[in-house]
Amino acid sequence: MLKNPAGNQLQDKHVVLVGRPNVGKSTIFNSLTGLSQHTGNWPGKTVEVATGFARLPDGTPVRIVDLPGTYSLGSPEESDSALDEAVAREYVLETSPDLVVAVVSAAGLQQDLYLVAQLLSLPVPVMVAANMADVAARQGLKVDYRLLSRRLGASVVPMSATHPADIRRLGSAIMAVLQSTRARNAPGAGPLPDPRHPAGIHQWVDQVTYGAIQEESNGITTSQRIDGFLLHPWLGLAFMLAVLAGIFWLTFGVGQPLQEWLETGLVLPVRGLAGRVLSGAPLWLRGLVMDGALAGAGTVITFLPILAIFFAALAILEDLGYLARTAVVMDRFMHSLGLHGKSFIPLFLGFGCNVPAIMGVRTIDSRRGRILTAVLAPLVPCAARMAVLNVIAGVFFGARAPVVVWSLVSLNILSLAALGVVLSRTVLYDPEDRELLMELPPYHLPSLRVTGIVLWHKLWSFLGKAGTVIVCASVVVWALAYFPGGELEGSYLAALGRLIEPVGLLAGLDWRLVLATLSGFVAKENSLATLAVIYGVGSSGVPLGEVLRSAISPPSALAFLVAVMLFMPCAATVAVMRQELKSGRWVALSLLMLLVLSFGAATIAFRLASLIW
Amino acid sequence: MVVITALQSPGRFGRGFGGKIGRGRFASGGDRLAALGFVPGSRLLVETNYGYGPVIVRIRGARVAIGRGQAQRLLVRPV
Repeated sequence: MLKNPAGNQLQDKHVVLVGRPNVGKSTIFNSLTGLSQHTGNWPGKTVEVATGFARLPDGTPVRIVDLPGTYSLGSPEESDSALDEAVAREYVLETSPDLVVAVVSAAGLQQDLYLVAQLLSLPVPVMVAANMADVAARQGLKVDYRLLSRRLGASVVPMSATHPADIRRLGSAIMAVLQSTRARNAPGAGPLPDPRHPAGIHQWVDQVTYGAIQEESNGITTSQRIDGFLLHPWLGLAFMLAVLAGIFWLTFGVGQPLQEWLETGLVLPVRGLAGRVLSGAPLWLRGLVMDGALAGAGTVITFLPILAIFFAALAILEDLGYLARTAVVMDRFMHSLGLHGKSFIPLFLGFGCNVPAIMGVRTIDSRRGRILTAVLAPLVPCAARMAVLNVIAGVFFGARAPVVVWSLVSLNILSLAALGVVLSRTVLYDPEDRELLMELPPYHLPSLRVTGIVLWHKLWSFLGKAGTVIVCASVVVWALAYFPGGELEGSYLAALGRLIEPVGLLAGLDWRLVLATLSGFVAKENSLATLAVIYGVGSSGVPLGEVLRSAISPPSALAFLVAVMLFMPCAATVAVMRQELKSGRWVALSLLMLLVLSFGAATIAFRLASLIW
Repeated sequence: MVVITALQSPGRFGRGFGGKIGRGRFASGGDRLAALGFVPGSRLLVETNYGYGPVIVRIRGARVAIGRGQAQRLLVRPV
């Protein structure tokens, strides 16, 4: 720990944020710490905590830790209390922070003080940040924060996390509590309840809030009025589909041109420059840099616009409070797949790209739900796979191509549903977790500054982790395709393809098609590029379509498409899956399942198609 | 005494008095239902029930979406 030469006592103070999901805890964390944060595993646990540094108004730095959202602290006797709940209690007890800031919603104090009551019984100082005070005021709630503060024996700061002035006030309040010498709180509302008895805790909270909260309007709140429309089984569904269509329009209308612009404006010139610089260098070095490393880096960079749009959309929908509503609207349907309504949006984002789909599982509150959603996500056909599908189907099936495309997309969706049903009833069986139980947060406007910070961290984390994996995978695949002879036909990769060929032939895939499927691992659209290289399209001058038609039979082409659509996710997807699930076992298992599924389905497709053609 | 579940029609208050949730942990410490206020004696109002999908319940000042299966197991007495 750093020692401050000035002997400032606040140096390295440790402040922890605890609160329910959807009370704006992350917004407060992001506003306090800005860009100076990192997420990492709490040593020895599979749980990720975000740590950041903030400067208090007097300039002293504090370490701020954002714990996962939790409804209660659980109880020590219950070993099966939900993971996140156990984390909050254990973290506070094990690290004994200098201060716990309980983040609550001022519009939901009767609910949120439950957690505060439990926190107060721990041997650490506690203060309360009553967020969304503006929302509460708009709902006609009059809250006497001073009275609450006296009864809780803890300072209560009414605030709105989207107002910078309120964040500064919270900073001052944190400073004041840290400077005071009080070791723990002394509630004025009488002895604390037994933290293990919910009914007793609720009674205590009623005593604390009695007379401190007055509801002026007894009518229907704006959120309720909006929900009358947005949660309606049909109107709500239509609205949600319109929102999703809007996101996709943004992706393809804005993201794709941006992607192409990056490709022509940045990636190609850099490659050209590298080509000129390396013009005298040995051929393998040029290949390594240009076709290996730079090709991989180019893939990573061109991913960014689409990811940025998806992440921004997801963050804004969550901050608005709308994400919770989509979970309600889709719950019934997702339920039949053994999933929560909350899994719907992440899975849906997968149609654009599987990477944000898997990074989106973070919004699901149970680990089981996160695993199941992330394992199923690669079965959602992403835009890159759709491109391969459309091109190849067009080449081989002419007028019947739309039917083939439609059938294969349906095959993916059906496989997803079937795998979901099977997994949720076997390895991932948990009847309690399948039920939706979620507070509907009041709607409120998101802070664009915080959305920007979140976006920055997500993209940065993608570049750092997934980017490294993609560039490495690209270099490895290039090396395998280049050595020992310098051409694809005689390379190690071709040897590998020939080695697998006997198995591939069961599904009508010769070594070339096996190779093209495998090369999709770096990025799905690579399958097309590999086909072009193997069949020597560049040298012969004959268009890819004609070359392929003369070399591959329609049943084999169909089997190839099935394999590409269902086969393992690309390297970026695997990298983020590893990052989100923190479990190599689940990643390996999911790849194995997809391998078996894709190969099995390709074999069946080939055999059936061979009977017809 | 009329015994109904939280699936009752909207607009009626009820007072929760029991029910088996999952493995029978109605009121144990780690239970999220209990933390949300679903304990014996608490008052709840069914706000929306379309007869399809989750039920929206008002409890302790909050609006909670609760899956139909779960709502069916919550026993409520109308008040």
